[in-house]
Amino acid sequence: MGTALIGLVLGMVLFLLSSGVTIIFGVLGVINFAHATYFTLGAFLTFSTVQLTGSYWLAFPVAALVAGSVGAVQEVLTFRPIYRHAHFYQLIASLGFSVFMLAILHSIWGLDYKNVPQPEIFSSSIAFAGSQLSTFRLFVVAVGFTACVAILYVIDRTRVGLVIRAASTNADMIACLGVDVVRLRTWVLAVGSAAAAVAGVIVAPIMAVQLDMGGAMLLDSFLVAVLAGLGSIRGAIVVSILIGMARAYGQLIAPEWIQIVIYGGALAFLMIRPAGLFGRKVRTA
Amino acid sequence: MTNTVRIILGAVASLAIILLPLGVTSETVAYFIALAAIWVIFAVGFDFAFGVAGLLSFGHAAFFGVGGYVLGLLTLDAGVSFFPALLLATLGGAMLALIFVAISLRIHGIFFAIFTLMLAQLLSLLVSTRLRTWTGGVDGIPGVPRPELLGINFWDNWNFAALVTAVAVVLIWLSALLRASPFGQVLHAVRQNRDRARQIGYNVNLYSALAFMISGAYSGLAGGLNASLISFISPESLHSSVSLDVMVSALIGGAGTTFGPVFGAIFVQGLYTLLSKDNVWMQASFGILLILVAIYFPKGLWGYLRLAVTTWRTKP
Repeated sequence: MGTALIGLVLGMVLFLLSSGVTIIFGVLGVINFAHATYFTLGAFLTFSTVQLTGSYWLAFPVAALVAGSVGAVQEVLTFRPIYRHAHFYQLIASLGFSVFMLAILHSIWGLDYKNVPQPEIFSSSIAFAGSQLSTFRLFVVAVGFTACVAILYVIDRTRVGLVIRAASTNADMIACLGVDVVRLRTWVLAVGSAAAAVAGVIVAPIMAVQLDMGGAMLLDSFLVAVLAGLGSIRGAIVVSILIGMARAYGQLIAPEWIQIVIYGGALAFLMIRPAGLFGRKVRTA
Repeated sequence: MTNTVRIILGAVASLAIILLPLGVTSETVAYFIALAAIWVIFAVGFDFAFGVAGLLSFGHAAFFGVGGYVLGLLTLDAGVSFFPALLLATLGGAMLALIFVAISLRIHGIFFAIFTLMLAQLLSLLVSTRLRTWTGGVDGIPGVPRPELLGINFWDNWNFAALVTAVAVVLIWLSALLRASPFGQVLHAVRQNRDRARQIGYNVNLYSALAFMISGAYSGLAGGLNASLISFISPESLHSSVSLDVMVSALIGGAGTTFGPVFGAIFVQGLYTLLSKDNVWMQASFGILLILVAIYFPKGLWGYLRLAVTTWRTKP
């Protein structure tokens, strides 16, 4: 049970990141390489918030607000001028932003490992089916699950979600219908970045908080988004939990192989189905 | 200026550049020239995939690193002499590029970039863990030799720099020829519009694969020479930051131009040598440079300069 819980935690975090990647790709048409730096930013902000104020809960609004504003700035400064350019240049601009952000994070927080203590109320563990389950991990899963439901609800059932889906299908058309797509894009990147930062906040007490933590997550969240089929949020849920579980159990069974098996398996799968598990083939010309 | 005059001028300039390292007094400068020339080869190779054929790769470190490992393993363990080993390192880069392309044949554009990144990460993992018995794991392989030829001592940094610059100059010429050749023209067409190029009747996948293999060959050669220069090879050279460095070099200099990557590579290596490689502010300014290049100078500094010169010349 303990291993399954770790897998679920990892899956939930991956989902929070990869749903952002997928929605941002849908609306902005951009793969954002800086996405995982918001995750790192969130974790670092948690460390500083806990150190300065002693409150873990305060880290949630702080990280969301800071990452959201930085995300909005990123969209306005680096993406807005070049939506009409070839996709390469957006990718390069986002890579540049990620390099820049990492340098800033490096200069503020340095390279060493930071320790974020678990909040007091979650210090206990629950005995369940013969194993001890950390209540904090259960809390992370609860947050992740709430996020899943909330994202699905917003995208499928609300007007905002309708606009987001429409903008992913045909941004020009929805602009003609009077939706301010320019502002929508800024908001989507801001909210997506805030979600990534929140993912950083919830894992800060159980992960080694340091500069490199985003790098591995970035590739994994791309992997999830591509495997699920870009644009598919339901697919992202399934694949996130799948990869999280594979990681958790693989770490137990064959720690040296698991990374290779996941990457190799994913690449092999994508060779056969480039559109991903739940993706649809799109016309190119 | 007629073509003959141009070629003669080019030949004289090339010879001057090859002899340049023998003329400098400081050993540090000679070493830097060798390093910069290696990165010039690498950047020109990278640009052959991105600037010419439109294949953006985030995994070029794989070819660079494999070139180094092939050279190191063949010379140290298999007793192959330097130049055949370097040739095989070049071929190794090309073969790996073929594998990359074969795996991602059905993927285009930005997904190709992500795929190459994943493949390169996979390779880096394999080399540092599973293939430890051959590759020495994260400790790498020390003592990669320098060549022996005609009794010239290539452990002397001046001589080695001259050798590397000679190779670089030849490869720049080759790249210029390839870019201007009918083959290069087809690649330009593939980059500009894949679907139309296919409609005209070109085998787009074959051309992409060939271009990527040439790029991989350049990178493998550069990796082999780099391992020989620092006489060491480790998974460091497979790290994604190597891919980033070569991309920054080609883009800042000017993707899709013959000399852009050359100047970009010299510029970036110059900065790395003058300032420390881990300097935070340099990393930050590289990030900003990448953003600026993507937004304002898609043809890089060289392309921008050339444009400025042309407009100035044609001004009435």
